[in-house]
Amino acid sequence: MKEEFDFNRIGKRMPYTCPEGFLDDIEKNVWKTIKKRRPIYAISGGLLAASLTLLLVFNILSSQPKTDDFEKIERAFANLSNIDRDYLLTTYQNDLFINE
Amino acid sequence: MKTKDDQELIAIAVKEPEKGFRYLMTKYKEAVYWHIRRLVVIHEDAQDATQETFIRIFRTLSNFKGECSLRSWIYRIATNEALRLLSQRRNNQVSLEDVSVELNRMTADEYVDYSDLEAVKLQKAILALPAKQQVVFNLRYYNELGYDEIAEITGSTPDSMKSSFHIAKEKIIKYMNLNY
Repeated sequence: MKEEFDFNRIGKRMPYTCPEGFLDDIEKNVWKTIKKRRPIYAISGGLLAASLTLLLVFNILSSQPKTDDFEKIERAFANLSNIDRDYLLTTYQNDLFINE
Repeated sequence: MKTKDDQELIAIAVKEPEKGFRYLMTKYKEAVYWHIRRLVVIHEDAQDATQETFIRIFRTLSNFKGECSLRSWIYRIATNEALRLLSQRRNNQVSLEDVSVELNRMTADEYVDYSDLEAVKLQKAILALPAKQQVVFNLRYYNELGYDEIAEITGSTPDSMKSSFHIAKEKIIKYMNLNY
């Protein structure tokens, strides 16, 4: 007689194995990435803050939206990587000074 | 490193983010890895997705406001990373209907023990389910989470999760009995 499948017989057994020490590798790689990205965030964060401040100043002082400095701001923002842009959006989307 | 409960973890992370995150990773890295591994199958993919999960957690930990349990929040990020990886794989496939490609992932990974035939078959049965049903089944069966918590993780309702789990279980039993 064919045996019916029973979850109780197999329990939580899985056929997956893994190399030794991989969990430590995961932790090391995470810290490596976090520490590597921090200087980029600091520089890019400062750059964006400065860029947005200049943008605000030019909007108040000048009737002409485009100046040489404005082009520099646009270029700086365009040169940011997707990761940096994502981080800056996450950080500044609730910023009272920028979003007022 | 001694594990801490989630309230303690959050309290530490508020004052000392790096220290709090270290405790968090110690507590959750294994569970997160296995949750992802059950979905993506291949060890290296699971390792990459686990790393991405914790990087994302570190970047957004200060945004966690306690709208759900810390564990649910972590599992939600991990699930999204796994599903993102699966979606990327599907975009690279020639045929979207080729479910056997997912099942064949097991043969592509060196970290699978094929001597346990029943265990291999069970994983194939789970992998034959739609991705979101796999998530529900795995969280209930392997992680023994309650339906309320699974609903928090998936953004659904507890009743829907209960229903999804039972449907998944029936499909698995049918698959296992047909292929016995």
